Amino acid sequence: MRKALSVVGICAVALVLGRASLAAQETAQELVILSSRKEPLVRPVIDLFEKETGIRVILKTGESAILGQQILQESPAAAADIYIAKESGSLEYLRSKGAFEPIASTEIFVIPQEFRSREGYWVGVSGRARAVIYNEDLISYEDVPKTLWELADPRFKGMIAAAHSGNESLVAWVSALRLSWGDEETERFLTALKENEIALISDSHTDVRKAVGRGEYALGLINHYYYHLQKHEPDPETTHVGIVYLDQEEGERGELVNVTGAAIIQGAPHREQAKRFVEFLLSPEAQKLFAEVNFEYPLRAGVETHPEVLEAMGCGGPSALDCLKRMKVPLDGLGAVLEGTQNLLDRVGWH
Amino acid sequence: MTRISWFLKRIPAHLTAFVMAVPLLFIFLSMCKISGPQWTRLWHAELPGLISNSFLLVLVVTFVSLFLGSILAWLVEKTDLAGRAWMRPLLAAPLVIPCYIVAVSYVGFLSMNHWRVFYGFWGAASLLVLGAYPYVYLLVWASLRRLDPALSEAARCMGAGPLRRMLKVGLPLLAPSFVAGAVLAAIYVLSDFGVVTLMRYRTFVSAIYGEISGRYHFEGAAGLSFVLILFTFAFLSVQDIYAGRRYESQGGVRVTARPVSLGVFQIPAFLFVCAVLGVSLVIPVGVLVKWFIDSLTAEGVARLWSFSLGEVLGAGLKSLLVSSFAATAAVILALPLAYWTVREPRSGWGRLISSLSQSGLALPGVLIALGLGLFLAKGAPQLHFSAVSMAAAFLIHFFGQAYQSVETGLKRVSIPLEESARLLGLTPLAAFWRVTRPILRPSLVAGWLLVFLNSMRELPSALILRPAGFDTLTVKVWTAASEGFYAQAAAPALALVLVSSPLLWIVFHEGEGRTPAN
Repeated sequence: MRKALSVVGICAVALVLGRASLAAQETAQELVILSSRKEPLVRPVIDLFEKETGIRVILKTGESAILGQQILQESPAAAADIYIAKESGSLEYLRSKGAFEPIASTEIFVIPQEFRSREGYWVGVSGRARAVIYNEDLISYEDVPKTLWELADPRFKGMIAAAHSGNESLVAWVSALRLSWGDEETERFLTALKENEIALISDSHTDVRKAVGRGEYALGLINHYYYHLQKHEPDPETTHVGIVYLDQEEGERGELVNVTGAAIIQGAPHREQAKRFVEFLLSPEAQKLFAEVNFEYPLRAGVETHPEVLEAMGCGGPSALDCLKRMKVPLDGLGAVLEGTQNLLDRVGWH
Repeated sequence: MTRISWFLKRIPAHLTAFVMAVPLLFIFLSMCKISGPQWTRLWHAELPGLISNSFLLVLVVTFVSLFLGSILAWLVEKTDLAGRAWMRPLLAAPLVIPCYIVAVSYVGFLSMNHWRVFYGFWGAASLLVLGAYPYVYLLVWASLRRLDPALSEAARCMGAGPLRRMLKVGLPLLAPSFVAGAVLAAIYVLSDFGVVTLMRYRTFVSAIYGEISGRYHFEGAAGLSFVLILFTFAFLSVQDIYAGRRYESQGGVRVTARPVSLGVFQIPAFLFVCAVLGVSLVIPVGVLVKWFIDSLTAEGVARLWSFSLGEVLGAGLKSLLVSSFAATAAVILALPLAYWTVREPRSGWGRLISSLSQSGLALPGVLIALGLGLFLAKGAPQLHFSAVSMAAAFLIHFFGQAYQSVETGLKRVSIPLEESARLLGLTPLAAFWRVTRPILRPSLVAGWLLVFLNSMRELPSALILRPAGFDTLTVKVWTAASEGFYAQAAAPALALVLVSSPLLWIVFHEGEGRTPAN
């Protein structure tokens, strides 16, 4: 008991000291970033930023819905400065709730208009396309579907893996289908996939790519970079995979290219540093690093896409965006239809 | 005077129960906002399948864990099994490895050998048994250790055979720990997220997570949680009914029991324990070590990013700090509450208070964090995303385990013994310190241990409530493993095991030193 009491005492002192030291650090040059993009994928760029500017970055990564709650709840006394999102729908949703302030920098114009918020509340940092990964041991390139609707063909019954509605990229893709095809065709399409026994194995595309790599499924619906990550798996037995971009022919709709993006939180305590960080993200050097750690497309014109990505597309470059037929959907329109999309996914039982 | 003591007995108990019920309260409030059509949607899309899925899993895992945990406890405590001294702490050691990590390492292990990964019900069930049996083992072991051999000897003197002695003397004395262990295992299964998700088996918790991720309204999640909570309370009331009777140890002259001779079963029993240890400990840790070595030599993608030694050490310190705070607070708060519920005549109100205080066990971590968060956002916004709120979430989440342990221990304390101490002139406090505390000590230690180790492994509420820059070990593991960077997850995962294991060892050592014979 005496021991227990002394432990409490020590803990209390340590907690107080911990808080005090955190408070002391707050006065120094620093920047607080919330990121729904995973730590391994933002850390390299943050390290570079810290080295070049001497600004200390405090990072918290997490689920976007939960970070979103944190931002909205802390408002107007914001504790964090920057929000990095792995997908534009959540940025646009939070913007509509007044979570961000406009980025007061002309630097954002180096990013094409289609990849940022029209009012300058958020800016795209890297691009990713939807695609299909396939296991080369189970299916040959010729037999792989080339359009979305082909996925509903009975030939592929039970052979396709996908993420369920807990995955934001998937939800954003369905939102884009709704905007492009209309609700009725989208619902028909998803229902047809369900009837074709599509396996919704996880909320994570990492699981989808691994399942295809292990040969549990012949096909997987993913973002394009998961193919490259699977190619780099340490176990060579699981790397017999290929990638197909759907609907690329004349008259077809193309693949959705979504973006990761950054925004400055309304009332950010370190506004100057936050602006510097956004400008840094758009610099050619950071653009290359941010995209390359994850085989994504840099969005700034003139910055080259990773050679492996170009090679897999048979693209001469310099940017993969030049070679890809893209679905014509306004990215800043994805946030407004988010809730309708979730209702539709519930209706077709996409969990 | 009596009035004051009447209040003194009740106020701490009620305050504790209130604090522990904060997340529950929020979930209830948020459930009240669910509209009729939303309920219909939840019912049609989810509920019937979720109920049968979850129950099947709970049933199978609980029974297997109960059986496995009790057999192991008996083997290492009451028999002459070779190596039982080192087996004792090792059998509880899986408590330090989060079940999620065990699952990840098994998927890795099976794919490394190009074996089929056993997804679905059986995969989830076998992995969860590995996570749940140590709870049963620990509680039954503690009871066996405190079992007074004199009772069994007395039965023998009166001509009872071994089977009769076990049924009439041993089982009733052990019953509270069996039931407590089974309830812990059942609740563990009901609230698991990592394993069922990885094994692609849909239960309440994975459905609740589905409702939360990607959405900005949590009513649906609250609705499902509430159904889950109702079921958990049903389990807890089972425990209440079966563990209601009190069995007392009379103390007096202590006899050391002779260990049961295993005879020809010596070798099979030894192999059995080794197999359990191999499956629950050696393989997962082995895979982690292999990944760790890989991470030192890996090329390409794996090399882009890794944790520095300093980061891992810092995270370890933060885990230790928050977890020991939560565990200590839990034991201290559990004591007055357990005193009140065990010693007062049982009433409906007392049962309600004790159930409320354990409600944290029934809630998935993420809802505790959200519920607590809403309360703090209103009451103390500066504490919302802080180490303090993390510790509070751990405390609320695992308080029930400290409480159950203390309660089980208190039931074994003989009231006449305490009364004799009072008659001999000791004050109530002194009587507690000199008579009750020594008997209670193993239960306090076990309760502290359960809360501490669970806090060390707790992930969802740490992920949500940590302030920026306060990553614990589990957060580091998750950060890497959730993106498939298994090699990088290995270092913090191993650190988690290394930090927790010595504590387990120390506590076991203490428990052994306090044998009845001494």
